[in-house]
Amino acid sequence: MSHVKATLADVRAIAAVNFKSASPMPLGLIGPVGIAKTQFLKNDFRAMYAEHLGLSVDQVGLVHERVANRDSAEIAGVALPTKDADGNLITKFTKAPMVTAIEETGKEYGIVLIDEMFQSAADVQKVLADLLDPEERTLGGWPIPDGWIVCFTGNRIQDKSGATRLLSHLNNRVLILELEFDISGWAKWAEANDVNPLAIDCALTYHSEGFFDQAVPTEDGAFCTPRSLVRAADQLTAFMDSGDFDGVTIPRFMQVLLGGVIGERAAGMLCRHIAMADQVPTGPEIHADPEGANVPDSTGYQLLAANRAINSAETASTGEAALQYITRLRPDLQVSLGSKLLRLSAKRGWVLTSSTATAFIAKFHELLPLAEATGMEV
Amino acid sequence: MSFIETASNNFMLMQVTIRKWRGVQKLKSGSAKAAEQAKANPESFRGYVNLLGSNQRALKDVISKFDAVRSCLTENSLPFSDAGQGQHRRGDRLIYVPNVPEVLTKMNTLTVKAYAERDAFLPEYDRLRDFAIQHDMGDWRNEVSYPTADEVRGMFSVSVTPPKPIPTCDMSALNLPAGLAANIAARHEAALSTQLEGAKDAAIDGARDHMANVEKQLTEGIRLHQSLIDNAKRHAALLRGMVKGYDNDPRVLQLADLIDEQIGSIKSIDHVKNSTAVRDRAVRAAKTVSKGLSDLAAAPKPSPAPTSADSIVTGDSLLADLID
Repeated sequence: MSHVKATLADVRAIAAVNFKSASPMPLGLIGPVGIAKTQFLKNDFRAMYAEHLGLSVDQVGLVHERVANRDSAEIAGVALPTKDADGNLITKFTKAPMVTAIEETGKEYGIVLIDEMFQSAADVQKVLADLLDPEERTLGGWPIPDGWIVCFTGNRIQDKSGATRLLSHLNNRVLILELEFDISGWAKWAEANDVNPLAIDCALTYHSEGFFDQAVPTEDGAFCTPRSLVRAADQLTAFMDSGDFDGVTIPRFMQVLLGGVIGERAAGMLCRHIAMADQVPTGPEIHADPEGANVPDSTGYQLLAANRAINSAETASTGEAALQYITRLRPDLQVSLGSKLLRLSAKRGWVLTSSTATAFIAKFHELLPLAEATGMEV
Repeated sequence: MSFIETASNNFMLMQVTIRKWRGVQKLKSGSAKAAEQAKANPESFRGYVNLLGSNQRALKDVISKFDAVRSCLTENSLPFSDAGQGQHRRGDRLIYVPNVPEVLTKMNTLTVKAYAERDAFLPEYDRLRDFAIQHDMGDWRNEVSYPTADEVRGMFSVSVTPPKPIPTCDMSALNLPAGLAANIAARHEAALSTQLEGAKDAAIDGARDHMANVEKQLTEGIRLHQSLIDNAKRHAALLRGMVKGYDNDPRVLQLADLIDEQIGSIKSIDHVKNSTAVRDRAVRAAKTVSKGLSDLAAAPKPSPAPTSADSIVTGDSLLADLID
């Protein structure tokens, strides 16, 4: 049995419903490493909760606990031998540190974020069971305030990060969603957070070709995730801001550096992308003038230009412009890229219906199945 | 290869003829008497009577089994007719070649069931007829007439025409002037094109209407039925078959994939009832597909591919003069 998959947009909509319920369920997000699960819960989820309450984000507390490196006593509190009023020897338990942390915020409302839940030991999970039970909401016997919502993150077993299956009685108490990565959502976030635009553009362009690693590689080494790309992009920005960058060439040492962060394959794609960036029109340039935008001579550059136009198309009009541009490319690219764009348009809900689209299908209808069967869709 | 040549390799035409005895009779004097009692003009009323009276249900069960054979063909095929939108489309049905064996098998199974139902009904027929005459017909018993059980047996039949290819027009075998032959071929192609576009429109309209129903039922419906999912799969298969055999339109294929992935893949309607996430996902997919298909239905249709006829001068032309 697998967990239900959801995009960030799904999670937002689900969270909004959850906030309104009489006893909100603890929300768990699982997924591959580095796709911003923790970031989402720390920032967006908290902001959404604040908005739901009609408060500012600062008025909603956050207690962030990584439980993978804790033992159960650190979570529940420890036993202390002491004497009662009559001098009898008794055992008392210290207040659970997480409850203390909540009290120290002084906030009535807040988020308890339990990170790396699936990497925690079974005894830790057992201790957390009462906290994750919407009917119980206690930790080591200490209740948490009503206005605090519990959420957690974790990786899947196949992510090779030490994650195990959650104990089944916990599965039954919480809402767990497997987060699906959404490239356009990530790109928007990255733009808003000043991530190097060439890195964003590269991710958008080559996403369908597996720029981000879908699974942790079998061999040791760096691999490309949205998180590692952001770190690599920081290094890239630092280099490009320096006087050493000639505007086109990425020297070998930088490629090595990037490879160390996002893996050699992704670093190679990123460097090649930067090298040809100035020869190829951008998506917005193509959308603005599909008839006049430059069509590079090289097949690779044509491919890059069209992918830029396709991946940045978000409406029927930009999609139509991208298709118009595609009809100016080499015939084999026209078939594969046109087919890709037409499928994408239907999937994204702004199906292309212009006479250009109709004429394209009429012209290439015999080749379209070949494009799909032989994986020509690039 | 044109759309039509592709289609002629990928589709077959089938037809089914169902004969059945409905067990109703028009009453002439009975109608006149009823009109008289109502102080109405006897010419303005024609009454019909269920010949098996209170046991008509038994006959209806037989009829419905025979109707199921036609329904099976209708549900798994598309109309192949040049009738326009809203007009009745009778006659041949278009089936994607890979689906032909499955449809034939299903129809054969239903035909066997239909005949079995008829054969189970016939031994009861005389008794039901006598009962109706005695208890249900009243004054009409003198006017009604009944076929014998053997005659009833002969009135029920199913006839499935063997699948046949789409008729293409090969004028090369005829000794006609080139222009005339090409002109006839072009007209034939234009007619076929209308019929095939009509079939594609029917597939799109059917799927769009069902997606609108899925969206409505999953949003407002209380009693959800498994047929919502089963019919979604059937419409996706019809869409995919139509497009793969005709123009390979990637947009329609994507929408068919979306139906299968997000709705058809739901194992049971109970999953929708019990899971908000599954339900929301299905509603979103139904909305996207419904909108996409609506947009496609309104999109311009491809103009027929130019044929050799277009390049040959005919009619009041030089060629016509030469033939003259």
